Amino acid sequence: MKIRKILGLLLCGMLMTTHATADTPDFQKILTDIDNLGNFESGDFSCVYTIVSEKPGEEKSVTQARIFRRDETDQFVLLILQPQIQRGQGYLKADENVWFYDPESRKFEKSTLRENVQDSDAQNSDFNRNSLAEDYEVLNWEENTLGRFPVYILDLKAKHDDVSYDRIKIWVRQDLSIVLKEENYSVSDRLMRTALYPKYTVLGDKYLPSSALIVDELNEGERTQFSMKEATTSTIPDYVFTKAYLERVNN
Amino acid sequence: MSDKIANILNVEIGDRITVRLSTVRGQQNVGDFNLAAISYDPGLLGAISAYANLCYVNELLDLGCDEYMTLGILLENLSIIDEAAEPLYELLNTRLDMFERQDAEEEGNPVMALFEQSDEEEWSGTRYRFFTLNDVLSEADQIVVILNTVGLVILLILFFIIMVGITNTFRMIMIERIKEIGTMRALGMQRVTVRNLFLLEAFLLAMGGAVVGLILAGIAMLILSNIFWGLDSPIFILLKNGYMTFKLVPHQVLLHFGVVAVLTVLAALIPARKAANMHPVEALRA
Repeated sequence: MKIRKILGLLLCGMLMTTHATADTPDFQKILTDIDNLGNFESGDFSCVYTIVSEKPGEEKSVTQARIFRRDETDQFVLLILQPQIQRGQGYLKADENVWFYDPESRKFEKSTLRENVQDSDAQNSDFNRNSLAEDYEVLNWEENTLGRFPVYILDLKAKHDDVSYDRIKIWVRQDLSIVLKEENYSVSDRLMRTALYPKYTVLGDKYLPSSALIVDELNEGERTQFSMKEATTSTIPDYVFTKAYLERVNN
Repeated sequence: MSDKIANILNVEIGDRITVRLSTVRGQQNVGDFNLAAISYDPGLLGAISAYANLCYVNELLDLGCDEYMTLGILLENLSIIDEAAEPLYELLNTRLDMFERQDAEEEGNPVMALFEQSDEEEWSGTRYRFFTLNDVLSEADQIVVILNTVGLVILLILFFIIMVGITNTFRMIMIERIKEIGTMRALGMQRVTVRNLFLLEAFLLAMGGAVVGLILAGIAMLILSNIFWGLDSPIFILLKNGYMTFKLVPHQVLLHFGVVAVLTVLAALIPARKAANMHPVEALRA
């Protein structure tokens, strides 16, 4: 009787496990899909981002930046267009190095994409190619809805320390692998910022957030909105991804 | 933390402060600190430093509890820095992956050069950088040398102007005393004696002026050294605990006395010789 009970329990367990495995989505594929929808592996991408930063007791600051991306070779240029006082400053990512150029001093300094754009909550890495599949692994997941969309909430842990945030949580639409919401956590596991992506622009078979709201969770009332315009996949000349371009563009 | 930073952050003892920082590898991190005490601002360092639990700070930086990013060695005597640094660097270089030491004089700003060095070279693993106070202060030394050179040029111009003034003054003195010179020469005084009289007068006037100047400088130094300029004054680098300090070096004072005496005597030499070479009859007739 006892043996039959044990066998029965084992069988139930096996069936349950099989059922659970069948229902567990392929997260690696979801992450890869998110990457593929947002990255341009065979082609260039450029656009203009307007970043509006709000801080309590301060006037809104508006920054406009033109982005050039060539994901195939992992090249990236961010050129500040506004405010006028910082016009011409830029970041160049080439050969694993990130350079910051200041037209005032006419010098390049080694930098990192982990820096914030001007004084906003947006980071340079927000506009660059990202790879969730390569950089993160899924720790936990759950199903839920966000607005009218059924979503997977994925709790991701960084595989290495080359990323800004050690842990992130993303809300991914179930029918299309795009991120609607993202939470970024510090190494000490504190929520640092929440990003909402309410609108996406479709560019061929790619989906890119055309507007986003980033809320600073550490400083109450601080938030940054960014919107995208002039998005294009036209081929960018090679010289754009050079130091000479950043030096020349202001003259 | 210092009172200045506490005022800027508007925090009091017992308040909790949330700090956003980056780990040594650049990842975002956040930590909480309870403000235990507010210190009197000791100057420049107060604006960039605070005391905290080392283990907790290291944890936030993603370092081990007993790990350090910078290690300083305090020597008994500043004059032996270079002497002590060389063998230590050589020893470390045989055991650790070290950045090459740079020639501070050739590189201009050594601190910037140290950082530029890491931009130019690529490496993997951990690399150590070795520098001394002399490397860091070499630029300050250059500024001191430049200031001293500019000061010397201004001093030489001043000396020239003063010498012209002294020469003209002694010419006037000579003209005023022309009859006395004629009388003395007529009574048998030698030319050399007349010249020496003028030079002796110039020398005594110079020494008298220098002594009065030294006394006035002493009074000025006494007044200035009793004025509290503040610890965050723009001239903090020249101050000691907010006060100006002056040091009189005896041999330098003597040297300056000597320079003043020589220059004054030289300036008075031309009118003195002219007075000495005057014909007694012509002098009495004038």
